[in-house]
Amino acid sequence: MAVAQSKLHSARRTWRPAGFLMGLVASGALALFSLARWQAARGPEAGLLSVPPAQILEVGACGFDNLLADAYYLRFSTYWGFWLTHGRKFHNLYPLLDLITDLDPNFHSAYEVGALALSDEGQVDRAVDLLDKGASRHPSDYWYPYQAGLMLFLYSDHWVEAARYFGMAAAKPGADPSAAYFEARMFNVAHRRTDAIDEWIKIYLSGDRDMARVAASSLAKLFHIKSTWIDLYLSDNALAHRLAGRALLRAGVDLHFLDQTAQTLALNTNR
Amino acid sequence: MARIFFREAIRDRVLNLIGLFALAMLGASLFLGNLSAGDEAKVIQDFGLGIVNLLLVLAALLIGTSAIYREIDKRTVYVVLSKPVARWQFLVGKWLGLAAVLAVLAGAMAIAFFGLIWLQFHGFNPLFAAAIGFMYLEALVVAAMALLFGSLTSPTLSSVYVLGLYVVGHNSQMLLHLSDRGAAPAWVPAVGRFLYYALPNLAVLNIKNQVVYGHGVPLAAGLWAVVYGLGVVAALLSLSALAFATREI
Repeated sequence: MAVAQSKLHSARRTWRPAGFLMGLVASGALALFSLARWQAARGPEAGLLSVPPAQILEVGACGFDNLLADAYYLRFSTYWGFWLTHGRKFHNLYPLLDLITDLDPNFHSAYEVGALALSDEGQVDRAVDLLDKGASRHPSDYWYPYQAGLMLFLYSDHWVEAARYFGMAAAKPGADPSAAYFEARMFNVAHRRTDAIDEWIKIYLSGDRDMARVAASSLAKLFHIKSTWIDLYLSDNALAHRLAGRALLRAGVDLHFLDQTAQTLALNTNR
Repeated sequence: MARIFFREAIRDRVLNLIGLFALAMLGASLFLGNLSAGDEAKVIQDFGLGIVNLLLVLAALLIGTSAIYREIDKRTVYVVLSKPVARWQFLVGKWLGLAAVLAVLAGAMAIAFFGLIWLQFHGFNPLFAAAIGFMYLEALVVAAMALLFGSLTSPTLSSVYVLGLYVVGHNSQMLLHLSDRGAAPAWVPAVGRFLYYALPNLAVLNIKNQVVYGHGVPLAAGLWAVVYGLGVVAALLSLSALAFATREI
């Protein structure tokens, strides 16, 4: 009897770890299976995100505002990636980006990628709102209005509005020369001929050789003439100026307007 | 006293766990940086500095709130106080020991963080060292708070009080804004202003969010912030000494 009991005890000791292991495998499998079923039962349109108010989070952040902004940004990038690959709709996109940029007003990628994601989802106005928010916090940075102009250009047909944003960007110190180019291009596309000519002349006289070539060619297209005539007309050579003036007049170009714009710009530059 | 407490605390399992957790989290921040779309460096630096800050505060809170309670619970406080050691000396010794432990922890985490940044970006912003210095100072303030409440009540309750004061300390600017808004009675702004100056303003010691963008603090402001932090520590330790002197053990 004692021997049998001892054998039973020994067998129990041997098999106990195996039992625990089997229990672990079975319960783990059950947990994973129910997780998969839960995900399936939740449905594809279940709310992916809930966004708490920024004021409350800022109080609770206790100085860890950047860290919280990063955590929400990672959440945003993960869900956005998921949305792109699975075609799911992204709820609360703007409130989430608004929250991130409230927590960390200098978070460049949140504005950049956020504006792209909003525009891609058909919320161009919201994308522009987000970039306006960035611009109000970084008034000397040309990038925010430039990006707003790009979003309007790529994702909507609000060309004049886009031109306005590119104009704002071009007026900032250290702005990329392409801002003025895009401003003029937007006026071209919007058929605002006078504004386009004005901008192209500005670019022509700005001193950047490559851009001046582009501007001359665009002006020529607007006037239906060869760009060389404009080069000659706006050059310092009196004879070339006179000859080109005749050719431009024949082509129907308003020389008075051309002179006036060039003079105004020259005066402004001298000032 | 400080040396004894330092040796005791450095062997504490909580500290070892915090150290391991810090290393694991700092390593994980590299992975998180890769997950973000753009601004990887910023995300890694934010997470690294945030973890260092969080764990320093957590260590100060957990070790500080139980420091006095343990001595009373194990009755070792009677042995110490039967010697020619005043109660305030006992308390200051505890704080100094805790400060040394926090210095070791801050140093270790700083080395790990700088190493990680160096490996990832082959260089680091020296302002990070200043940010960690300010985090250490903040942890010293939290340690003094923990000793104050720890000398009055149990570790659990002390932790709740310290956390409450920590949250208020980071939002004390709001007390001024809220008290000045609306048609409140005349005494409300006065109370708001009193609370603003009476409670420790921990936001003064927080520069981690700006150093990530390469913005430092003016030298004078930084020096005054250090003086302010040390002043708050001295005030809290005085209060703790007062509370501990009148406490029945």
